[in-house]
Amino acid sequence: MTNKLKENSDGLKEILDKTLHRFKNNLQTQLSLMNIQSATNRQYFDDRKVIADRIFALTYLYDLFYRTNKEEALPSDTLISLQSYLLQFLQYLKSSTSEIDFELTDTSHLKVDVDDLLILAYILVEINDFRMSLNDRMVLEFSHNKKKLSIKFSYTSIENHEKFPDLFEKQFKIFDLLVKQLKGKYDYKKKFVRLLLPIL
Amino acid sequence: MKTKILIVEDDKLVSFEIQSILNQNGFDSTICESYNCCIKNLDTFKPELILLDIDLSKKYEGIQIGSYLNSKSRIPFIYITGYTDSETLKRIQTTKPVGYLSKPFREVDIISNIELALYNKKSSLDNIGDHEVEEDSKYSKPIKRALEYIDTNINQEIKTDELIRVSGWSKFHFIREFAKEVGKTPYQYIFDEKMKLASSKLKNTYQTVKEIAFDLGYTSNSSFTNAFVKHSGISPSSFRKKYCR
Repeated sequence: MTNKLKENSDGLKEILDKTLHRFKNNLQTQLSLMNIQSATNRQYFDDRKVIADRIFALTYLYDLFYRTNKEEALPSDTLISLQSYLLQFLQYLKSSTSEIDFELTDTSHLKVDVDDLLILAYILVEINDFRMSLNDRMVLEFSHNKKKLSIKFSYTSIENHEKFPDLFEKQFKIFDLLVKQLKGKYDYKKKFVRLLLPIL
Repeated sequence: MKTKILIVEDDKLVSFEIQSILNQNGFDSTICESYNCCIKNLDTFKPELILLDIDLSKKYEGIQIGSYLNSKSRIPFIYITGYTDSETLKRIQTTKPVGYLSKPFREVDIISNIELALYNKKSSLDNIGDHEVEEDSKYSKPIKRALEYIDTNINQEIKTDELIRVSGWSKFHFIREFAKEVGKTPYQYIFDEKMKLASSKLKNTYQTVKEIAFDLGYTSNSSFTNAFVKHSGISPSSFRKKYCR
């Protein structure tokens, strides 16, 4: 009995240490994004909204992480439901505009590491800022194949998305770093841009 | 000439941010994301200071690099980490870093840590006496070249023929001189170095035994386990249980 209590206490301490570590890393990412913004002269359409969106992305993530593991005495992994998180975060983005359409195929069985999900949310924030700077409508489609998440996005006013990187050349660096952080690949098509992210 | 700093960090945002800060402050920097890239850049980039993420590849590879730098090089290094618990601090102290940057950090934290480390390095170099010169001349040049070759290629199978080639000596002469200067045969030296590295990886990283075996140039898990038992008297997994937190 005593041994079991000690094991639980050690396990809890380890989880608290890991959570604190993760949270500090997440804050570092937020800071890094702001500093890279200054260093690369990245002009956002609305700086304040981008920062608020990132903070909400982080908040939703920890909310969901907490709810996912609430029933477990000692959670053993850091995976959370991709679908739950995306639905919540996309609804949040949509709450300030009617110019976002999204389609999400059934991903209810898929779980993703919290750190990767956060970077994914930041990618969506960038894509949404591109939309705002175009004063445009955007369509997002999420699907999955094997271990990869596919995100297709397109803007109504862009006729040829193959020129997407050139069009946003000055704003591209942070978006590109985020995609690379997830080891993602681009696929530029006329009608859309597809990101393939091996995070599943 | 600009001071060269190697950034060893697998988070692309953090490494890019640090590089931007270093560029703005007049340093020359390059980024590595793995153990192997870091070791390679010690020779090619020749950094004067290293900024090292502890949790590289999420396997504590940074501490492993720290151990390597502490034992094999005089390049000062500063750890970057989100860990501030006492156990991690104790573990990293044994590798003797010159500084420690806790995430989230500010520009001033990075620059002041670097400036201090470089100042201390310069002071200690100024104080080097005859003792160190003697230490440097402990090995003849051909043996030094062979030892450097072993250090650089410790993660692979090292053939004696290659050591003979880099030494420039004949086979017989090389083996005799190596034993005389180093105190053991090339085979025994390589074996001991591999086992030292294996022990460090088992203690300080979350790599599986199979991964460690592979990293050290062993083609199978069992041949590595046999070698480790021969060296330490216990199996790799028992060793890890005994020494890991």
